[in-house]
Amino acid sequence: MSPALAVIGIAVLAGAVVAVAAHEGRPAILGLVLALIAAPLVAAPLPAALPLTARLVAAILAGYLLWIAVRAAPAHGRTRGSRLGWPVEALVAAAAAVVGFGLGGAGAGNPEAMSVGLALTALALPPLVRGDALQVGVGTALLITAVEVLRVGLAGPASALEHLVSSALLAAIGAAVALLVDASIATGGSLEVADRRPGGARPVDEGIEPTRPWYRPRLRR
Amino acid sequence: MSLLPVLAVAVGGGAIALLVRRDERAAMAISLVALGATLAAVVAVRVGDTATIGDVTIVATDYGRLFLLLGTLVGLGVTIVGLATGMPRDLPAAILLGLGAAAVALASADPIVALLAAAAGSFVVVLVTVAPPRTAATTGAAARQLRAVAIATGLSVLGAAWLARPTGVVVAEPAAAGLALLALAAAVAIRWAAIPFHRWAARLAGVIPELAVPAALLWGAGVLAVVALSVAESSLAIVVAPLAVERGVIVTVGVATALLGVAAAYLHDDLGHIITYSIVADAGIVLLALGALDSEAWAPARLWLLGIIVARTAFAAWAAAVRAAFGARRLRDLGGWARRAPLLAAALVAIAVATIGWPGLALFDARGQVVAAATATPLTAIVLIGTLGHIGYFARIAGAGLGRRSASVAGGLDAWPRWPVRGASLTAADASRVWRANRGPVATVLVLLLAGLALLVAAGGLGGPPASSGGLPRPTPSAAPSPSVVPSASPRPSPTRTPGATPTASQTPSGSIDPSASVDPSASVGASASPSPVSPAP
Repeated sequence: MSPALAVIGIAVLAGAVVAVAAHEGRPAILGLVLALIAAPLVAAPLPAALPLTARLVAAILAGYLLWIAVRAAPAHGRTRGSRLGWPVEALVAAAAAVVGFGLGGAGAGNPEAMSVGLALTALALPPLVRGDALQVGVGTALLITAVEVLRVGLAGPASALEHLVSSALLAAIGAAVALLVDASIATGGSLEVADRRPGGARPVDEGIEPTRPWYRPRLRR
Repeated sequence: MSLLPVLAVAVGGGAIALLVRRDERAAMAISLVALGATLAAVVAVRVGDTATIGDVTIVATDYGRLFLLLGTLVGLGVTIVGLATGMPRDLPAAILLGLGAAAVALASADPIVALLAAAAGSFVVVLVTVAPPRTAATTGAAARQLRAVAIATGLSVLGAAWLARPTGVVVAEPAAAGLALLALAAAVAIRWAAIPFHRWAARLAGVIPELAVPAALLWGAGVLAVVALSVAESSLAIVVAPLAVERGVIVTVGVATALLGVAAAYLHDDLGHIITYSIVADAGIVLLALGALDSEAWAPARLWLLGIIVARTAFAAWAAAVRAAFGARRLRDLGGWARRAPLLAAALVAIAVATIGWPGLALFDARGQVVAAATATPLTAIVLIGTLGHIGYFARIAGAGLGRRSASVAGGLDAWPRWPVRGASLTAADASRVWRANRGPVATVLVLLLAGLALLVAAGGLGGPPASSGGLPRPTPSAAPSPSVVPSASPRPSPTRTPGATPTASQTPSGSIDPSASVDPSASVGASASPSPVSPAP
């Protein structure tokens, strides 16, 4: 095991644990950005400077878009973080990391990547199914990052083009989640996904843009 | 490299349109200009052009070019129909960004890059779902859409990464290959909302305008399906074991989706849901192609994907035009629409013909070949007859159109051109009045053009069949299974054996793999695999 990769992996997982366990929006976003920035470094050899810069910029951009969206949320962006608390999330991540390290021989990449990838997957799945816009976004970003890290563990280091495309993907996720968070705050006043709220109405056609007909219908009475 | 201008114009235009999205007129103008420029750039693409970024080769293939050409034409049509009928604010920008993503996905020789690019295009479409007017329902639907795309991306990349391990043992590890195939198929099923993964799409159909349904459900899924088929073709088709269980599961889900999707489309009254379930039913055919794992299915599946994307988009545009004309999208409110709007009725007939077809029509034959490659004889007939069930909901819509005139339709306006301006001079205000008065005719003409395009593709026009035989770029040599590991690996026997078939470029008659065959990065997968895999006659 490479000590440097181990340290980077711990940093990634620490950020991810904060992202999924925090009950306020801003710490969750900071943790997510930390995980997104450090994840491409879990590779041997390290990516070249240009692709790495692209990943760095994309991670910061995604985080900034989320930050802007959460800024408008009441109560410091109260989010539905883990109910079990960060120690449990950290233990889950550690267990998954051990399993991943054991599976390291299955691929052509480094076992550290398998370890971090599996731990990130374990952390990403619960928030993905929570009824909270920010948590869904955190889960989405972590899951995609987890898959990319696992891919390094399975098939070796990513190419420069793959890093560039991953950067674009990360920016797209950031934009989509930021708009989802914004819509959630606008429609429900919080980060809770509105149709999950008790009694939340889901009438068909509710969201369809009012028709702009070419005429005003003369309805017969 | 002639593909790079496509990328620059589509992604640049889409990004700028998103940045200025608060100014709707500016965003629309930028989007229209960018779509026009993208069309010009796609026309200028030279097939066979290559570029290397890092160590990945980008290849402009015939199929990729045709896909982008049709995508741009359809995107332009949808944007103009949307201008006339109303659409989500960010739809044109999402179309542009999706085209850019598709350009990378269809040209990359690295399947993981292709899958990531396809995912980026799918995530962008979430912007359309959460566009104003925002409601609790749209937020919930967008969250579900985000989950579905994320999980589909995860599964597809993991499956492709497993196959891309440069150890080459996948040929000798049928269980691993089977899991990878299942992951790819599950990704396509979730992304395309195949049954039983269709709930998110059903929720989406109720809250977004019908014009946005193909963008949300079909286009990104189509790109993913093309890439998944390419991965299966290049990496899985030479697996020694038949993968009977895995293929059985996929084919079962495919058959269920194809049949139940059609039934659900027939039973619904709302045009948005009818379009959605018709698209869901199409996922069944894609899954059958993946489950077939047979060279007989690759090219027909690619051709079918091209045709169905255009036909479904034309269907959605038709529904948008009808809704704008009569202010309703439920069949019970649309009684007599066909007699009031005969041009839209003609468009619906063309769309139905393009979707269903008849023996001899390229799209009909392609669907039949996919079904025949995936299923055994009695089931083949059942599925083929079941897919003809698309006639049912088209007939139901037409029946409503010929029925008693409803209040909404009675109050509608005939979609004939009008000139509300008096005098010879035309001011800006006059031009605006002319546009407002003629939005109906403009939308109708565009729907007719889209329906005509769908018919053309369904008939095998624009070079669809040869382009579909070509397929996507061959994976980079490191991604292909190493022939040295399993020298005796033979192609999986095809269910439809052709004794006189010639060997493919990469496979010798004895079934062993020619090591020199996986070197040429500019060659496309389908080109080398278009003849059926060689197997001794029984």
